[in-house]
Amino acid sequence: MNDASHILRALVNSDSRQIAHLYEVNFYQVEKFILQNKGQKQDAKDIFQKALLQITARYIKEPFEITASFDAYLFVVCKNLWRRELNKSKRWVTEQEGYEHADENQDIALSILEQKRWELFHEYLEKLSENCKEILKLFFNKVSYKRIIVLMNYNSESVARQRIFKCKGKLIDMVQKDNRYHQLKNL
Amino acid sequence: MSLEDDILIEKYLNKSLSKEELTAFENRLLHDPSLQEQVNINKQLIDAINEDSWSFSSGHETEALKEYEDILNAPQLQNLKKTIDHIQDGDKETSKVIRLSNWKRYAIAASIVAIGLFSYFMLQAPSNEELYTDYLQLETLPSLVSRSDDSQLLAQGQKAFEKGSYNDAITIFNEAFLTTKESGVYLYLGISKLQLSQFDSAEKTFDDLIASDLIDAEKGYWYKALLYLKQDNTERSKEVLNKIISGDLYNVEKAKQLLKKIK
Repeated sequence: MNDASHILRALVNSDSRQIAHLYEVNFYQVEKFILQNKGQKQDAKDIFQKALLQITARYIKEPFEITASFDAYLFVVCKNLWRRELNKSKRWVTEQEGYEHADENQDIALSILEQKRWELFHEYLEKLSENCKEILKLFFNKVSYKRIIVLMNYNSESVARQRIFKCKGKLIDMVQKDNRYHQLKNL
Repeated sequence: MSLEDDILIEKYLNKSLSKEELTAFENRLLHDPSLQEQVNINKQLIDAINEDSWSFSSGHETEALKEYEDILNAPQLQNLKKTIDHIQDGDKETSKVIRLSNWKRYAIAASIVAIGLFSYFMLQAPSNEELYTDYLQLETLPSLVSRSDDSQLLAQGQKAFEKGSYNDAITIFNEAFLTTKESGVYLYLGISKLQLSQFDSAEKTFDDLIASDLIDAEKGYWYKALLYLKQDNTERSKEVLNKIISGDLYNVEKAKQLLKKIK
């Protein structure tokens, strides 16, 4: 039994001793990240709790494997939840949807599906060549073509564009062939 | 999917199609499901992989969503929530005096803890990060809307900035810089970089402002002081603040205030 499934079981059983330990080991890192990114301690507590609820609900519905360490995975989930929180306010301004009326558990449920889609995209991003990965990360992070040319040592913008087009095409192709995407594409 | 279409999608998503191009593209979208699909996945990928954004669902009721909701509402997870709440509350209480049986001793101990907590909160100075946020005061920035010929571009930049899309703002202001050299552009550009923690680049922008012959050049010092604060470089921040005070530069009163609050 690996460390992750051990902890998942503790969460399913609300094992307070083990969860207290989990909190002690992981909370500080999450708190530090959130304080450095426009949040307060209370935000860190909320996010930490939501992350554990998210992971546990997912595990109850369909046991999944965590390949990295549980702590590393938990941190990724917390980071994403915080990113999501920070982007919520922007979203309400630009798109008028009934999002803000979602109750807390509904909101966590939505975040689970979004996290699954995020994981799917990253799973395939990791399958690309180093070069493709690198250029796509720059591209998706909206680094300008001018800068990409310099960073990646390309001769011209059109070379960079071609390369991005190719790498992105591969990524999209793999994602679209995955059955999981069909359940996640029209969330 | 052709490269041409891919470029169109990219421009569509970052809203840089011309009016005519946009109309034509939207028309095609209406009748071309596979193009729709491409737009959809491109947007999802950008939002998911870009570290400043998040790919939200649009809240469609699906079966999976309902199942997760049910699990979250069931007693098992409500129980877990309580357990976590309890652990997190315990985090606040630093004293373990509860076990004392004598109520007087307990009361005394409790009051000591209360006093202790009180002075702890009184004495706890704000962190540099908090000071940075308090003093940044974005509302004091000059508006760039409707000025020169470039007002269109500047207005766009300001809008991106106000939305918190700092990466977009940087791209736009860099472009604006080719034709306009006004202090406001330096400030917006520098602060955008600062918000993204691109410290070296932000510092360079503020240095450029200071070195310029613009009337507002001295504002660069104030933002440099904030920059060092955000970097948690207390010493250098103090240095700059002192310079503002001795030179009677922009925001001298705030600089005095801030200097007192820094540890």
